[in-house]
Amino acid sequence: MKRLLPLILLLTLGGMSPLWSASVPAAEASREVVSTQREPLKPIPLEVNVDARKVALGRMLFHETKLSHDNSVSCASCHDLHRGGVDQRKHSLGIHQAEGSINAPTVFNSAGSIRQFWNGRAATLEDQIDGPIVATEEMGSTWEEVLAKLRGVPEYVASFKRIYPDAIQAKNVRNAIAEFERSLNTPNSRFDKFLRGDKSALTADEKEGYRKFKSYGCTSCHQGVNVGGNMFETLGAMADYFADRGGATKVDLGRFNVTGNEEDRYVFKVPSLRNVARTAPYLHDGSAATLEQAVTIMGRYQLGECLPPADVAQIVQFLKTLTGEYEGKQL
Amino acid sequence: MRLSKKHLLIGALLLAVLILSYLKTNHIVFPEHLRFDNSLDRLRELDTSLNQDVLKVRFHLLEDYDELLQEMSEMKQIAGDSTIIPSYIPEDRRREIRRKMEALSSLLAQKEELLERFKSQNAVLSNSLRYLPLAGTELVNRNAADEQRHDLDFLLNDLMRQVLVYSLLPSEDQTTGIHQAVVKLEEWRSQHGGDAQDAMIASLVLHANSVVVHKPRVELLTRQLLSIQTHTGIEEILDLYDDCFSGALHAADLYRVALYVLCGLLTLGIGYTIYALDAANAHLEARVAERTGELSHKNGELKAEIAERLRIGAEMEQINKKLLDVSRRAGMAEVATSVLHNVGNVLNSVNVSCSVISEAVRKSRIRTVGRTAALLQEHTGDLPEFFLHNPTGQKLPDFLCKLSEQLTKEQTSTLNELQSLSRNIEHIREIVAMQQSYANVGGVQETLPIRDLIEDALQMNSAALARHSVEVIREYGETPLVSVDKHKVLQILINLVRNAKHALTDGERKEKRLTVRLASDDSQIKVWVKDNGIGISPENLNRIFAHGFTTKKRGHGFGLHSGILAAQEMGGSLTVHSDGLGFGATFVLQLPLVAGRRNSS
Repeated sequence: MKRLLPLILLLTLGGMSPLWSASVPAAEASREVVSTQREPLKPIPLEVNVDARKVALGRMLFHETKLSHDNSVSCASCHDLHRGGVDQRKHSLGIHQAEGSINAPTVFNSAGSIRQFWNGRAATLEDQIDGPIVATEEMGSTWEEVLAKLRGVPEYVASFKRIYPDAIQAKNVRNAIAEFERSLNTPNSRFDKFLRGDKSALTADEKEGYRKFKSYGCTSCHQGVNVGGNMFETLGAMADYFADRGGATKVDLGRFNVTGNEEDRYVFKVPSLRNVARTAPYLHDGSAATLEQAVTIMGRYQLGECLPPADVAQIVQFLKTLTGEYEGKQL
Repeated sequence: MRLSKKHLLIGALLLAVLILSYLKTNHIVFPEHLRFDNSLDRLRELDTSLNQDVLKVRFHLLEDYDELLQEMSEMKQIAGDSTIIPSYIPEDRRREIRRKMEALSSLLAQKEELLERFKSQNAVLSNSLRYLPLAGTELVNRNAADEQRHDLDFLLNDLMRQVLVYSLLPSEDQTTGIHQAVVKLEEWRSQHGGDAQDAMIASLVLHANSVVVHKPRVELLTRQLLSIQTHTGIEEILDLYDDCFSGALHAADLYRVALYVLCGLLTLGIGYTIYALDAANAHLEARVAERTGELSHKNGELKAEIAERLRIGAEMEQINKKLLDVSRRAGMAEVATSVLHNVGNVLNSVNVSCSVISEAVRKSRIRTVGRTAALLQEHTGDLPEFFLHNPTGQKLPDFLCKLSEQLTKEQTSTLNELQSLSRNIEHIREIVAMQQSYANVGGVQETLPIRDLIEDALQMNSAALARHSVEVIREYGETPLVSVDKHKVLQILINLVRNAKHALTDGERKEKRLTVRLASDDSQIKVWVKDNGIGISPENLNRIFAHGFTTKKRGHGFGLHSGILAAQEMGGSLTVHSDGLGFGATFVLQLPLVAGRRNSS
């Protein structure tokens, strides 16, 4: 056998040409060991890689009231793309004007979130879609009903057939809507321009607001491209928020409702602050009507600090520079 | 060489082995292998990066969690996608790999959970660590002008120092130190209650406590995160897969070697086949040359043979001609023999008639007439006297009467004999005419009773029959008239009677009997000529009709031969029966009632 080895090697070399002809994926872009800028916030990428056909179909479905039981509510009802991706209500209204129990988070940049929903009960955008469709106080429908309705619309039948071999299926509806949602990013905010090197993009106050935003420790949680959205944190890390607010309900248990883990009590997803000026009211309970209120509450319960109103104002000024563009238009 | 089933089978088998070997060498699907291999490498890389990033975050070298998030989600995606396991791996090994991937996935889930806690705890900790020196320094700065508050500054600085050291080197002692500093600060606060900076000090204490609480948690979580065995999990999958891959590679190599060996063997086989074909070809050519030689030789032989045959043919032709000549001459001789034979037969009768006549003439009383006339002349003058007184003269008239009577008798006998003679001469003439009719086919047909012909034949031999005292028995049935060539039939019958006579004379019986029977039925007439003479031996019975066969000393072997020919000529037959020597013989002549000719030349 030993003597055969050179022969085997020779033959193997001759026969293994596919090994070399296949391209090895380019090594991952060189990773910065230490960020030179040390900025905790990053600009939103200008381009997003999505399937245009699915986005178009997803957009139709996103605005489709047939997804709800009585054909009165669509995704866009609560996630109005003209209103920062929210309905600007404390609690959203579902079918039959049923009021929900939690503030609707924005749909913009939701693809960057660690998980979906305030309590992170859905791992992906696809998984998230089931929630509102079957929730009785939201769309109050079932997949059976939704699919039957969609199959009655020739345009949908044709569109689905073009994209998905198995046509109208729940998974395809989810995929199309999720793909549309992945296209909902809002680049080119003034702050992003600033980050990209345009130092004149922010006013002195706004820059000062950003500095304070960092020095007060807000960036401990609100960091990354989405200025948050990529981690969970206890609401009331430094002080008991719910004791002060009172009237705690089940939704206030946050991630505990998902994991049942005691450590997850009152834990919520840290929301993205992108376009935060357009998504009032704030917090999961919608209790903060203005940004100033929200920043003050955050300072008190999350940072354990009492922020002076002047600093709050500057921080709010900075937060307003986070409003980006969707389809080339300021949100 | 013909392709036999065996050859085809061997060929098909070889081809199957070749194809199988080739397929086996291409067993490994390299794009799948690369994808999986790269994925595993990527997993390892991501795991390392993640651990690195955890440490970076821990030491504030990284200020956002996006990368942690991306790394974790990519790892989860890779580990959760069992479809990337290459299809060439045997099912049991794939199941094993899938199990390990599932184990890795659950490890990753644990790691993700730890990571989430780490992020949350770390956020609070880093916030407190950041706030504490800032707030403390600010308080100190504010107190700078106030002499009373130096003790507070001392307390604040002590707390900050304790927390700082703790944040670098967390230990139980340090915790106690922080606690003591916090207790002192609280004491100071209770002594100087209601101070404007009270809330800030409380906040400071809060954060100091927060550091004490969160620091060990972050430390623990970091350790847990780094110690979780995702790396081992990935390595296990890699090892397992490498094992599968190298095994498959090894197997493929073996098959490749087998393939090459097979190819070599086939090449040798083809070479040998070419060589063998070449040899066979040479052999064939030699055989062809040999055969060609043989053939040309045979051809020469054949030509010679053909020439010989032609020569023989020519000779045969000549011989035939000669034979024809000879046979013609023989035929003529036969005819002559036949004629002479038949004429000879008749001449016997002519001879007899002649001798009878000449005897009669010699014994004739005609001289007595002369003597009477001379006596009368002596007595011319005394004639009356003579008649009256002479005794001789007296008897003369009586004598003359008796003489006249005698002469008349003689005349009648002679006339009879002459008639017989002329009949025989007529028969000779007819024989000659009949022989002429042999040459010119077709004799004269006459319609007559056959019994007349039998009588004629018996009559012609009557003298001989009488001489040998042969008793002739006639058993004639009533027969119709037949239309036949009279002389042919007569000739046959004469021959039969003659042969019978000979057989009777050669035999030793006293009562020599010749029986002639005549009978007929609807279609034919039959004549039996039966004797109780010497008989015919069985061996002679077969060839008795052959030309030239005879038992007689002076025979020609012609009679019966011409007889059977003549009978067949007339559409009839001539047959013989004998029970053997001493038992006589029977010849049967059959003739058709309606005259017919046998259709033959």
